[in-house]
Amino acid sequence: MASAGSGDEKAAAAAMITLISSDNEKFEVTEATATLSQTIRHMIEDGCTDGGVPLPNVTSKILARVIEYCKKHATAAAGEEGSSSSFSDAAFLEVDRAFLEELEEFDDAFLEVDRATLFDLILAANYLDIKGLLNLTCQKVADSVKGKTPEQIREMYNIVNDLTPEEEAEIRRETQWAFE
Amino acid sequence: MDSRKRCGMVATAGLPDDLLLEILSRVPAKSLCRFKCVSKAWRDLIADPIHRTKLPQAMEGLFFMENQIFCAGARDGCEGDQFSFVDLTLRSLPLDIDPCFSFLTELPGLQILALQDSCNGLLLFEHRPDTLSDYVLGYIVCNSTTKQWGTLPTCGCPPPPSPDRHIYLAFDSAVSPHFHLVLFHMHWGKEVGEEPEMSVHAYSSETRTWSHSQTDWDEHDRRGLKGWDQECFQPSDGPRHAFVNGMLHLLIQDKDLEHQILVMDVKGKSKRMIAMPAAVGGSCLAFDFISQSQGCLHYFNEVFDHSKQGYEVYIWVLQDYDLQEWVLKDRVNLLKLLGKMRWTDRVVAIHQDCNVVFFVQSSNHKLIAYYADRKDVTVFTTSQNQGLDWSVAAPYVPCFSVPPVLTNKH
Repeated sequence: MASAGSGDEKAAAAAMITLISSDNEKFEVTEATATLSQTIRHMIEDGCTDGGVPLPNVTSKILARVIEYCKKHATAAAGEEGSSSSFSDAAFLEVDRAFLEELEEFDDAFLEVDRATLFDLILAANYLDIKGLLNLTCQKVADSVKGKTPEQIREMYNIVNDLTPEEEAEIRRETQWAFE
Repeated sequence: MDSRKRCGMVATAGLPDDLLLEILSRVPAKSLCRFKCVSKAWRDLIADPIHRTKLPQAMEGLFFMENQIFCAGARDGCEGDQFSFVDLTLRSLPLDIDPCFSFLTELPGLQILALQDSCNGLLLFEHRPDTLSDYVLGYIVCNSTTKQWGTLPTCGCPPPPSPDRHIYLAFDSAVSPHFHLVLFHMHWGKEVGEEPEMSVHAYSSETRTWSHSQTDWDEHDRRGLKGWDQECFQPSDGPRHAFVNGMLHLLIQDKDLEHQILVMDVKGKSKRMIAMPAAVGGSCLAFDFISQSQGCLHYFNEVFDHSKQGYEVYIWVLQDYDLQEWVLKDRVNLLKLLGKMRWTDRVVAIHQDCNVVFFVQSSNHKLIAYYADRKDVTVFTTSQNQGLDWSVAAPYVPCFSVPPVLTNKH
């Protein structure tokens, strides 16, 4: 019975899911990678992933990047589970630290994309409900806008200022300190 | 599905409002205030009351209150004039707050409240049976924005006299809806010259329990943290502790009068020290303070410069927290700035979102804001409150999230 159980587990670990992008490209990923997305996790739980998971909101270009992120972070999650067992000696901590640093470097490199791609990644992370990726990408945009003036923001995002001069003056008067 | 007029991708090309909100929730309050000027869509998104729990809020005022507040249950009854509030916003509409805390002071069961701490919109009071007693009936934590409050039990140990106990509140709604209290009790031995015993107690509003750690302070810590048992919180002396990066920072003084910062987690456990910036030569340290502003730990030292016969305030910031490098941000000659300076004039608070320091000038009961960026001052008159000089100041940062333990029951 025990061997049958572990056999099932192995089968589950090796289970592959097919993701289909909006432009009909198919991506084969492990269940561990796919379930970083809560949206896909629920689909798997409901047993509606046979024949592939169509993702009509995500292009192949973006989906490839999202899968790249999930693969890396799924390995990280598996690594964490492994190391949180009874091992606590320095060698293991060292490995953990090195791995976390590597993950951080990966995230930094991952975010080196143009603004349109970054927005597409945010939309995909939101649609697929991948918390870590949503946090990472939103933080990146937040870091790029904080400290900027309203004029700079309008320029960055092609926003037309539709406030009347009076409305704008009122906001500036109320929070003058924020403009210094 | 979305019946609101402003739906979909209005604010920025390409992102729906809920995702723009995700981004803006990670931007400092100061930037958010400015971003209201980007467009109508941005202004309405940021100002929408529905989004207040999600977006960082800027400091809007300062509460001043007496050390001990008489409530309805006190023998002498509730007194007016125990509070004042300084509105720092320049809005045409007054803020919707209760500057007298009548939602607390008029509760029949409450007697004396003593403000102990405030942190990101919550205030912490000790509830005492009378003015003379050092006994603590319990603690009250309140949210002055939503006017919700809760009573918390004491840690169960008999409290030492008030100078020998210090309690701190740790709360950041952006990180967790729960808050922590860290309480220090100092017990003096019977022998003269004997080292006092310190116990640390921590309360979590999530588990609603106190934990105690007496034995954690081993001999090594005692030597390393020489002076950690010194008084580090005298509310009337200005801010001497700060909650930054999820850690409590307490300004302490060892027996050689060296100042250092004790860093402690909210469970009252892990601890380490941060050294102060190198001393300023030729000057004599008068007062010093620490505070959180713009997410960074700030240190202010007020020194008497013998050559210039005047007080100067040095403003330092721990720009890179991990490197622990202090950067001198500004140097202010108070005499030049205020015309005159008396020893009773004091720093009461730091603006949480910008480079502004608040002084109280005791001679004329004035609150003075020093704007470091443009190097000038604004005077807020609060002459209606004669007690300003000795009042406790608490920054008012609106907080729209309510920890579940604040049930308005006691």
